[in-house]
Amino acid sequence: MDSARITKIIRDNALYQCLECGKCSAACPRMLAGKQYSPRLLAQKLISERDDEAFIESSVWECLTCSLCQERCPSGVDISRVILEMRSLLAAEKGLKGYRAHDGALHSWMRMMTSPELKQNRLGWVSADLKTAETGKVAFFSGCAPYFDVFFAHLGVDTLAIARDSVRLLNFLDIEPVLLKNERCCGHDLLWAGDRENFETLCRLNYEEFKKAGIEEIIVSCPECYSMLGTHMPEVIPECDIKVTLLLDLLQKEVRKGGKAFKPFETTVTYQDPCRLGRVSGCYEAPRYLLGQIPGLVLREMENSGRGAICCGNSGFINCDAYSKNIQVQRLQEVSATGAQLLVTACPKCMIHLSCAMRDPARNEKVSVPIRDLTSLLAQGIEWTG
Amino acid sequence: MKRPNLLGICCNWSPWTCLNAAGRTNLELPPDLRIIRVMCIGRINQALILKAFEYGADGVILLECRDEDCRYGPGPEVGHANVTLVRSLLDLLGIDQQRLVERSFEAHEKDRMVTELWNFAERIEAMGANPAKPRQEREAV
Amino acid sequence: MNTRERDSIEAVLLVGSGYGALKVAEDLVQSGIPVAWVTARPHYLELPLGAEALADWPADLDYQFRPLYLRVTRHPLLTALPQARILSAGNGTNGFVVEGEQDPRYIDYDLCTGCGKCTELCPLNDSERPPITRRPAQCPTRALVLDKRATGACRVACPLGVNAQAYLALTAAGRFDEALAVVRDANPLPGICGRVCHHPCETECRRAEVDEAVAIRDIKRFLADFEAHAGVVPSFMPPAQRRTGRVAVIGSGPAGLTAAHYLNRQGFQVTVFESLPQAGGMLRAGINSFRLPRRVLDIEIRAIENAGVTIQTGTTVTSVQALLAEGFSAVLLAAGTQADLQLGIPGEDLPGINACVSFLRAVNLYGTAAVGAKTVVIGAGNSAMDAARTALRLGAASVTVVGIEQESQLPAHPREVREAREEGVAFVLGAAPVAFEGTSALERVVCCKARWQPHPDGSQEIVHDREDTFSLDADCVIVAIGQRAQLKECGLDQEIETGPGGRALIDTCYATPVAGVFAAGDVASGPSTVVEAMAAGRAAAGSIIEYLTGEVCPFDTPTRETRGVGDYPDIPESLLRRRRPDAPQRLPRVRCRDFDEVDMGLGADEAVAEARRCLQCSVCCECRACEAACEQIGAINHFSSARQFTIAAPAIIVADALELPDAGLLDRDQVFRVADLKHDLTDVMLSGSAAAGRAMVAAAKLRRAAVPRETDVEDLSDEVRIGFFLCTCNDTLASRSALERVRDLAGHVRGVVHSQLLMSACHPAGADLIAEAVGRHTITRVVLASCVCCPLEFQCISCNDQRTRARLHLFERLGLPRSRFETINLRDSLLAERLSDDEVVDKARDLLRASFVRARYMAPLTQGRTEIGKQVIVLGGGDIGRSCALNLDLQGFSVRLVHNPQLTTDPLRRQPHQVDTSAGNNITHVESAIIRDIRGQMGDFTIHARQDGAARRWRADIVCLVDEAVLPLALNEDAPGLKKLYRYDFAFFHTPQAGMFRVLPRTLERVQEFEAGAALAAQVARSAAEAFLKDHLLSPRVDPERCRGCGRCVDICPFNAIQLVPGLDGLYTAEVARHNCVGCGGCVGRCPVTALDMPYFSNQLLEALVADAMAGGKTYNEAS
Repeated sequence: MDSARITKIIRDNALYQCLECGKCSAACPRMLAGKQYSPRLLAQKLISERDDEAFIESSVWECLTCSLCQERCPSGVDISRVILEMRSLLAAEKGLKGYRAHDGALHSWMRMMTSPELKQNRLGWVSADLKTAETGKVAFFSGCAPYFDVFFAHLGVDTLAIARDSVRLLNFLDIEPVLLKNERCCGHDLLWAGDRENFETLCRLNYEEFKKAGIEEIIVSCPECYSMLGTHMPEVIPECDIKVTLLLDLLQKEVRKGGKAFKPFETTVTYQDPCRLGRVSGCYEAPRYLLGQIPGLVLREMENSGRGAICCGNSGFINCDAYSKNIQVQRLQEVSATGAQLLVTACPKCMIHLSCAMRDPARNEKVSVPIRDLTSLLAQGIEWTG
Repeated sequence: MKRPNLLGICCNWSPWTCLNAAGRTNLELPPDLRIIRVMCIGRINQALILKAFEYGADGVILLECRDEDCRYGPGPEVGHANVTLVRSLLDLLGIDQQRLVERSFEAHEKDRMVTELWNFAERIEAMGANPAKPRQEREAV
Repeated sequence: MNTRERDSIEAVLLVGSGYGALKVAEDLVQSGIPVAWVTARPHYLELPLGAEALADWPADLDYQFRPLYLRVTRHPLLTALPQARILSAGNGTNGFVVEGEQDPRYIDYDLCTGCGKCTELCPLNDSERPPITRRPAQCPTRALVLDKRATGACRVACPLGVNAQAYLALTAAGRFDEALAVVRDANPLPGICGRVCHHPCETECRRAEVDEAVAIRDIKRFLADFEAHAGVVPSFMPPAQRRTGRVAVIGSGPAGLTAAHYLNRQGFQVTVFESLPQAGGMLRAGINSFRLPRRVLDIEIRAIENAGVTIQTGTTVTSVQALLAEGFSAVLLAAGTQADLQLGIPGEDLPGINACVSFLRAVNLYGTAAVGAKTVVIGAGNSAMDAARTALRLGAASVTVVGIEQESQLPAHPREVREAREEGVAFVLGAAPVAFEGTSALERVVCCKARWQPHPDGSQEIVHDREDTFSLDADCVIVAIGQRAQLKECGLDQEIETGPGGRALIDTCYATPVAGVFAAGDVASGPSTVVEAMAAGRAAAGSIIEYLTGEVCPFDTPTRETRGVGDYPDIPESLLRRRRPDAPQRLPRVRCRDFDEVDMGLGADEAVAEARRCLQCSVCCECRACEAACEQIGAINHFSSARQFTIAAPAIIVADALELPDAGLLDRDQVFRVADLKHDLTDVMLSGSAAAGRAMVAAAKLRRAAVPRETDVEDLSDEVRIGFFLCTCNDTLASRSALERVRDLAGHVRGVVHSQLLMSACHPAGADLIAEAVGRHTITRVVLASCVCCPLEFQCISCNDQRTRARLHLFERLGLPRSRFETINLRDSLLAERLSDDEVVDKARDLLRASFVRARYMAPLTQGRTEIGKQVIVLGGGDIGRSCALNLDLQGFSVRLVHNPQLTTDPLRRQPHQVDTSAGNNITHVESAIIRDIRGQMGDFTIHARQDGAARRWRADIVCLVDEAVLPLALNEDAPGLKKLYRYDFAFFHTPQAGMFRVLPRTLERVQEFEAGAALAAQVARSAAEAFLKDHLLSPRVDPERCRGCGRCVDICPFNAIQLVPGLDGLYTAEVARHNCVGCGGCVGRCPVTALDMPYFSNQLLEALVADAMAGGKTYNEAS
């Protein structure tokens, strides 16, 4: 391993400030799910025992990247960033070793998107009732929704509904977004799989696409796309001047302006904070504010929520395993403990992973709960007042 | 022009028997075709097919037993499901769905297999290169 | 016919071939009972003709049968006796004692690799009836069969047993050198015999039945001349090693030369003593140069000398004792008959009267003879013709032959007579001289009419008609009325006893009463022909070898019955008539002026065309070119003999009644019949199973339980040291140079430490070479390029016998680890005839790529086993259940038979009980139980039931579901693909779950219920025969840390091979029941998190293979 680069990574991300207090390990959902896993030990090895390559490699790859450890860290170590950069480093040196869920099918098509000549057929989902613009300054970024919709159809996860409802919400706000035929995957999963090179290619291709269409603002509903386009893309493309807006933020702002309300919906829900929305992008309040605007809807927080929310079990389609399942089952049990009739989440990945966990022939009944994306829930009831 | 990259994924049973017989009787196979063998077409997952395209296949053909001949029962149906799904993904990517085909054979149909393989090779050649460039080519660009 | 010792076999006897027989054999051997399979058909896999006519014959049925074939044919408990017949079946202490005989097998099936090189070298391969053929396509062995019939009449007629059929076949194929070698092998004097042999072969030639005999002698002559014209000096290989023992041969005529040659070839030091100044005996002294040019004589004698025979000319032996005293271990007297017989009539001492042999000797050896203007030759034999024609050439104005015989009985060959006449010789027949008259010299020959008068003792006497006398003017007479031995003249009669005509007396072994002294040829037999003398010489040489060494005579003169199976095939009616060619001769008026050769011989085209007229009566001509092709493999033996066998059989199963010596056998106890293949294959297979089941009861004592080998988990983390082995399939795969290039190419691939060519991978010696190299080069991964396509212990429809054999040698006999082998089928792709070397190398490079990838991704293939017992539960009474239970009981199983009254399908309700199970010792009857639940796996099933209101629970190793109503409890009939599984393996009783059997409803429509029960019992016994249940080598392994317990693998497996069990933290995890698994990998493909993976087709490997295949030659670019 390139020791000099590791030194740079740990210096850049404040790893030397580690106090070895172990709070990270104590909070780690993987650790709590039964896996021998310790971010603290990883920090220690990275700092002083770099010859234990096997340990470092497996720890780097097996991290969920949910950032809960970072949340708990009293020293402000950017552990997720260490993992991210270490993965890039390891992947470049030793190949993509992280073991990929679905045998890497998703990463495969994501990498195929780095081909410049590709002419995708990705807008088949745009139904007649949606108002979109051929040109304009505002675009809606639908991300991997069309692909996931095909790949995860067997789970009953309708990721395209999120995209349609997002456009409906924008239309409601009198925004007719541009839908780009050749937008690429935001690259989240490749980046987190250590494939920085292809991630950067995707960034550049997307940026070119935006620029060619004259886009100035991108609206996204997916927290991963938000993080990638908003935070990571400008790191790759310093001149990037595209404004990236999270749909939930936009809605919160618009609803606060007044004149809009939601139809009553008598139900009890609980809310799964997506890690990329909450801990990564700091967005805890907007979803709760918006849910609070729905008359009749009662939000019951889970035992671990907000900053302490437990991950949906997997991130970036890396390392999905028995421990992921255990985390998911625990999470669904927390859902069940709230007595909620509906589980609301704001990330398609949460929806996919938790839905998958519900498909458990051994405990199907006990863990199953209706699950819905916040965007769809909002789009279903929003209306003008007065 | 660069020769097309063709991948055949062949079930060990009837289709493999056809291939063996074709070899024994000097039947020529398309020169651009590489074949890998699996125990049953139900063995392979969508990822492997996608990876073939990712690694630069211009066409992939699954050689399988007829539905009612599968030694293990569900193999060909799994194959159909995988092909349907991967084709949908290919379509989204703007890759011609016809680049992925499946054909089923009985053990004695070596001649038909050879014909089908040549047809496949010719069709793919006519289609030209797969727009999704394999990594090494992308790197070269 | 020499036969080996009689083989004694203890086994169930199976008679007849076909699918039913195959099923019988399978059920019995797999259940641990030895089977002796006797069929008259040439191959035990050959199926009855006309089977294709079946209505439901699936086009690929032959393929579907392959796994079954291969399982059976290489099973250690099977004694296969194809081309064999039962001669008698009597009673023994334990069933039958059956005597039988198997025809000779000229190709050893355990060694033949099916490379086909022999067919390429067979001169008759392109004929209408090729002697070496592959068995029909449905036969999964590539082995070849040699059709060798009774020895050809020509060869039998030849005193030397020269294989005319072989040299004709080779000549017809234009292979003159080989043809001549065939002649020389049995006849060291082809050029001589090609001219002067009286060719008894042609007399017997079957072609004469159609038109004319084949001109065999002319072809022989052509072959010798062809060689001579090419400037090749004939030569024999000197003996490989010299033996002690010197042999003296007296006389260098045909007998002496031949004996000397063969003695020399066997390693003895031979000295030939010749009293004349030049060697050749009668060949030189008696036969003229216009019939036998001296050049031909000289080179053929020289060839014998050059191989090590010493010929001492001008030496007259006067004492054999002296020779023995001189150190010769044996003496062969082959002095011939050099003395002329005399007429004993007045005037025989007049000048001008010559004796034939001395006359010819004077002409041929010394050039001193002279004749008169009017020459009369007395006698009408071949010597007389020679004398007459010589006289013409010496300048006689007229030559008249006087003979007693009439034209049709002339002792001379008609051809000689004709040629003499053409040259102007006059004939006076039916007359004999009575006196020679003349004053100071001969003036006339007085003759009278005469004839031969036979005596009752077989001799004959001349009867003169003194009334009818006439005289012929003559100034020269040559008396040619016969010769005699001249032992007396040289004093040998003092030591050697002589008989009539002064001939040496010998016994049947050519031995004289004097120890170590033998005699052969004319000296012992009286005047005969060249070839007869040669034959005697060789036979005497054989006797001398026996005398000196005690070894059996090594020389072969086959009779019609010595070799081959069956008579000559009929002459095809379509055969076109075609006359033999007339060999060209010089014009009589030209040729009679000189001593140059009269006959000019055939040209190459004529010889080939003439050789093609041969009918090849024996089918195989026994040229043995195939043996040379098979030298490394050693599978062909033309001298195999029939095999006698005795089978002690507790039971007999008859699949084809026509193969029985006596149809009455069918009525005896413990003789079971398999249905004929008339309607439906399934009937036959089912009937075969039923017969097997019934025979098992009688043969239960013969059963041997097999204990499968348990393998350790290989640690494949060691250094990758690849050994590459390329099977050249006995040099038939491609050119040597191309394969050497492939070998060298592979030698440069990363990780390859050794690269070599093999003669054959499926041959024991080939496997030994691999094992040896693996040890010597500490190879940790083997890439074997041959026709073997997987190292696994299973047979599929593209498998064949050679592949199975290679694996048996490598993994069973030599115990090499399967896990470390990558086997790749190159043969089927490289066989193309027209591939250039470059194409071969390119193709091989392409095909081998994946193998080198795999060599780096090998995973342990492990074999585990689970012990199982003999407790069977039969659910459902009725006659099927009862019959099955009774049968199993008699085979030593412990059976619980559950009668279920609630069942409407219970056959018990439909008909009265026919099977009485009260006799069973070990049957527990359970009445009126209601089955609630069946679960578990083979060796450990649990059945829950209620009986009389109480809960019951039974354990069983094997479950038989006889009645329909309990099926849903045990089997999900809607499981994916389940119905398809019933299509193959003719698994009327098999369920996807090992150890669980069911009776398909259609079974009942086909056979009697009693039989169905027996057939079911056979399947149960089969599955329980190995006291241990084996894992499938390809079974996937589950990583419990990865498995999410989603159950998709369980959903897709129709074999109950995978289930969810409690795992980590209250979650469920998949577990593979490895002995239920069939290794398809469907579960692996379905697993969303790759928690399941297979050792042989792992995800990582498949991805690497795809990557490599798409990357174009990465494997070779990485070469270090």
